[in-house]
Amino acid sequence: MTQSSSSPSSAARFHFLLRRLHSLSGLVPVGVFLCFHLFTNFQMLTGDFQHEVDFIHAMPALFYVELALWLSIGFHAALGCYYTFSGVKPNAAAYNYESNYRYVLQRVTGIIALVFIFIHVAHFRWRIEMFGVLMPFYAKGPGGEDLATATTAMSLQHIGATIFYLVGALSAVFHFANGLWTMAITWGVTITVGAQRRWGKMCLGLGVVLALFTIGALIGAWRYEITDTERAAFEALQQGAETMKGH
Amino acid sequence: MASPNQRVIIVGGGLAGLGAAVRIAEEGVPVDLFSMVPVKRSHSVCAQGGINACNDVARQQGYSEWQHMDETLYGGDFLNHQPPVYEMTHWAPQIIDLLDRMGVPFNRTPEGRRDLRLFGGSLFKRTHFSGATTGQQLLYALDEQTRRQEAAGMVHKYEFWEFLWPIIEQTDDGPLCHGIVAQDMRTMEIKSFKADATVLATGGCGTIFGKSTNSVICNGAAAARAYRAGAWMGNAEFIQVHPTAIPGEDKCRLMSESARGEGGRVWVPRKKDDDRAPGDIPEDERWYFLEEKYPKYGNLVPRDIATREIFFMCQEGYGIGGGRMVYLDCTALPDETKKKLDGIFEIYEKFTGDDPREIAMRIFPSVHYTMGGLWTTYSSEEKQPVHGDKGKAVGMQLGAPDNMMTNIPGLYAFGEVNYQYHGGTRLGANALLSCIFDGIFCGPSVVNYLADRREAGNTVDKVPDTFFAEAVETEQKKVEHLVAGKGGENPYVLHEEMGNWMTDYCTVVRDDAGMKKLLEQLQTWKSRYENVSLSDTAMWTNQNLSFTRALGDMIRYAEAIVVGALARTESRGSHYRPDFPDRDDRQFQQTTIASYDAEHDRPDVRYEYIPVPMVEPRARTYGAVK
Amino acid sequence: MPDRTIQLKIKRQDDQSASPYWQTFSIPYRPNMNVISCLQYIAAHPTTADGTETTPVVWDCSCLEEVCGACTMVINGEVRQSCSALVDRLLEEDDSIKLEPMTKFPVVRDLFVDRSRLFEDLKKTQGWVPIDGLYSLGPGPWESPAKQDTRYDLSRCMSCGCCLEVCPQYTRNNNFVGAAVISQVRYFNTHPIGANNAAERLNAMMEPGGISDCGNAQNCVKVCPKDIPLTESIADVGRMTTIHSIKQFFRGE
Repeated sequence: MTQSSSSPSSAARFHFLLRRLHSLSGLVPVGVFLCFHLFTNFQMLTGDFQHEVDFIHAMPALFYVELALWLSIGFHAALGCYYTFSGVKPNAAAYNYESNYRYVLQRVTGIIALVFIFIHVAHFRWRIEMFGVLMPFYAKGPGGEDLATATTAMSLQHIGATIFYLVGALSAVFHFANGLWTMAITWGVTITVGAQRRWGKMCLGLGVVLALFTIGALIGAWRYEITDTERAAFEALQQGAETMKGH
Repeated sequence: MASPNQRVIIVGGGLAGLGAAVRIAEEGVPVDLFSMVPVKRSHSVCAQGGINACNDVARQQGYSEWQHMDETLYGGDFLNHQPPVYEMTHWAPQIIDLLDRMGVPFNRTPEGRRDLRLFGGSLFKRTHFSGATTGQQLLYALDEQTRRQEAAGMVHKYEFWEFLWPIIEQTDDGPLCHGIVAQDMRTMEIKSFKADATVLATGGCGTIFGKSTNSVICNGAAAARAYRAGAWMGNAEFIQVHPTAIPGEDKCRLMSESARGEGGRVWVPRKKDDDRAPGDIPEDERWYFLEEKYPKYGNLVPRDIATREIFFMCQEGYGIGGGRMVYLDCTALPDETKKKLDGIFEIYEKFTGDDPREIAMRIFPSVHYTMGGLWTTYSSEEKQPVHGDKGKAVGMQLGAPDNMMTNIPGLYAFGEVNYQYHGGTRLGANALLSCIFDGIFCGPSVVNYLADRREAGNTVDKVPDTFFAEAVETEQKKVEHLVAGKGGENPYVLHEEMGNWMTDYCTVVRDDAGMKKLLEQLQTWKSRYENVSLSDTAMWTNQNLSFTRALGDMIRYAEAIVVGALARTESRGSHYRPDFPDRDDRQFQQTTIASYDAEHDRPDVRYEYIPVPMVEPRARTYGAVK
Repeated sequence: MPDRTIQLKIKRQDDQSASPYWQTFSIPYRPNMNVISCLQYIAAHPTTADGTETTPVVWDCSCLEEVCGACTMVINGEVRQSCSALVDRLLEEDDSIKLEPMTKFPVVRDLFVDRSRLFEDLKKTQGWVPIDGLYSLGPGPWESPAKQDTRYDLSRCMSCGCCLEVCPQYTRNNNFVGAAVISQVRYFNTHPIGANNAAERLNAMMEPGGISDCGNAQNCVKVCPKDIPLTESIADVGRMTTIHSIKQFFRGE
């Protein structure tokens, strides 16, 4: 480190780049995706969830979008875990400052969110049976009926599932909102204590909105009355799961 | 030029030591820097007020470097040598510039120039400052420059190393210093270090007086070791006592003069042993003794008078609760004045838990600065007078190898341990200046001395290794002796006793009987010291050993102080003899030189006339308070 | 009153590799005591509360005025200087006083720790203004009072290590430099001449253990005895490195 060259060493470049990419990947694309996703979910309560689902499934190059997302999440999570488990020593019990609790929570929620996202995708996307429900991939009935809203509601109308989704999604929301706050410090956007406080309030606001989206989506799921037709179609879908898996 | 193989040892990492280290390293000579604490924690950090230097504004108001010199000599009661003071005050402006370039955050004017404040002993604003922590800021700037030299491989730091003894060879041409013996305070390893020049920059000796405003490391042991090894002491009896300090259980902390400047009043209860809270004592039962005795100047009498009066009141039993404290009352000041004093109030509050805005402060005089120290010499030369100089100008010869060298060739004394600059007492904000000046001005002298030594062919590499091994062995034996001690005498108790006695009989008021008693006591401490037992004999980070060893040296330093004070039958600067209340230039326009008589374990005192080439001594009255 | 005593529990360790143990000391109470005066009492009377003779407790101290930073330790679970830790205040919250060495630095003995890592890190980040030597070369650059004020706040860091002790990211298993050093980078980079070495300092800040290892727990700023705006320094150095690295990237160096 004592060399007086005006260029950083390659170790420095690599280390710094990784740290900053870790920070950036939390916002783009992972954070942005989280916002869209939670907004979509919120349509369970207020709008046309089916339309949103159809829109997503109609996206071109969906596979590559998903792949990019997975790579980003994987990168962000792998580095995050590495940083968290390599030689740091949380001490919120001894020094119980609010910011210190958030420091610990940021790491805990990151891990919860990672586990949650994995299970959530396994359930909804990879169609692994959970809470007694096997989620269909296209969420359409055998006869082409729109079932996205119904099937989602059906899988969430379960207290265990609700708690799981509440904890998982709210962890992700906290992790994102607080991460946005620390990111502004890391990149040097907010310097003064005042700027950090003001930006903190905005991050808190965003976090609350996203949390409300999440809670709204769950309320929407519980309030959704599944019609007999939907149930029958769903049952049929479940019966034909074996064939579905072939897709 | 010095040979690349020659090294310099500097003991002490305060302003003087670091200034010298950077200056010498800059000349291409490697430096080994020894300090008992990481150099950033040296006592220089404690200086608050500022650093004096003539400046453009003051100059246009009629001030000059000469005037600064005059103030320093007048303040020092003409016991200072004039050429070094001439040189120091004339270098002061460029030293401030230099510190400015190093990045010291000096307070600024609206235009962005360095701001100035008024300080004691002058009618001109000539004190540069950096908040309330000027010493800390200056030390850090030099610490940073030292770190730069360290990173460049020119300075090697030995932090947590204690200087034990100078290595002095008695050659046919007299003594010659070859380096030092030092001990790692963590591993307790004792080693010798060779150098063609050794600089002691080890500061003052405040802890000889028990509690003082000094750091715990300022025990004078390093100076005392040099003295015991043959270096002379100069004016050891001159110790400055600051009138207002906050007495603490562990040390005394300075309470700035500005508290009185802004209207703080000093008083004691009229009734002895009045145990009421100060706020509950009615006005007519308070004794504002300074205002009563000195109606003209009141609480703002000069430092030495305030110190003496407070001291007398407590001796007569009027101190708070019969003890050694008086009230410094700022509670009645208007709110806006209190606000101005926020900085010093916070210090008081932090260390006493009391809010001086609500309750009167308890203060007492405390030993603050060591004007005396190791005797040094210098080469003077006539200078071309500069603007403002009033007559013949005699300064120091830049680069002369003997500048601030002790009587032992190769051994220098810089900074507070050097007796040169402050004479009978020191002006506020001159200490930082003298320390940096020594380092920066005399650094080249050290470098030139190395070259001389090389030419003379008596460099340290010619000295056989056995000579150094013997020096180490001597120190090891001393340690073994201390560790083996079983006499049961507790060194800490002995130190406390000595501190109390020294403070009582040899600080503010020095009467003949008291000092004679003290001198007798010193002899008993010497014999009691022979019976000290260590409570820790482990050979790992043993502070008990270090303290006890230093105590033996402190007793010898104390003796030099007392003997000097007894022999100086006059009053001058900080030295006040009630039996000889006036300055006696005929007999004592002289430096007290104490040399150690090892055979009889006592100081031999003689005198050396102080020439006055520029400023004729005049009475130090400060506008006559009497 | 004269009978009142203070209980002092001290975590001791005989040397670097020894295992720590606790000792309790009973000290006569006097008004206005601080922790230093308790330790001084123990030095003079090294006997534990149960009457066992022991060695004096070893601790680091110098100025006792909270400007040198030496006497930092963990007192009743909180890191701070022991000179400004007043016994009366401590006893308001607890009935005894507990002293431990700082945990982030290797213990040398008892309460005395080795903080050399901090000074080494200052060296790596070129914590100095690169002046052209000590010759007389005129004054330094002018500076506005506002800028002086900012720099003064930063320059009061006494390298005590409190910010490092409470930092969850600063541990003995990594090489994070911590808030104190990052703040010094800001101090020097905001000085007009100090800025001549800004690139080198920022390069050092990009190394593993540099600025990006901060986890934003922001404990540092809460325990700093000199109220240095450490978190602002971290953010500012964050900005400096962001700009520096983007410039480096597009310059293709």
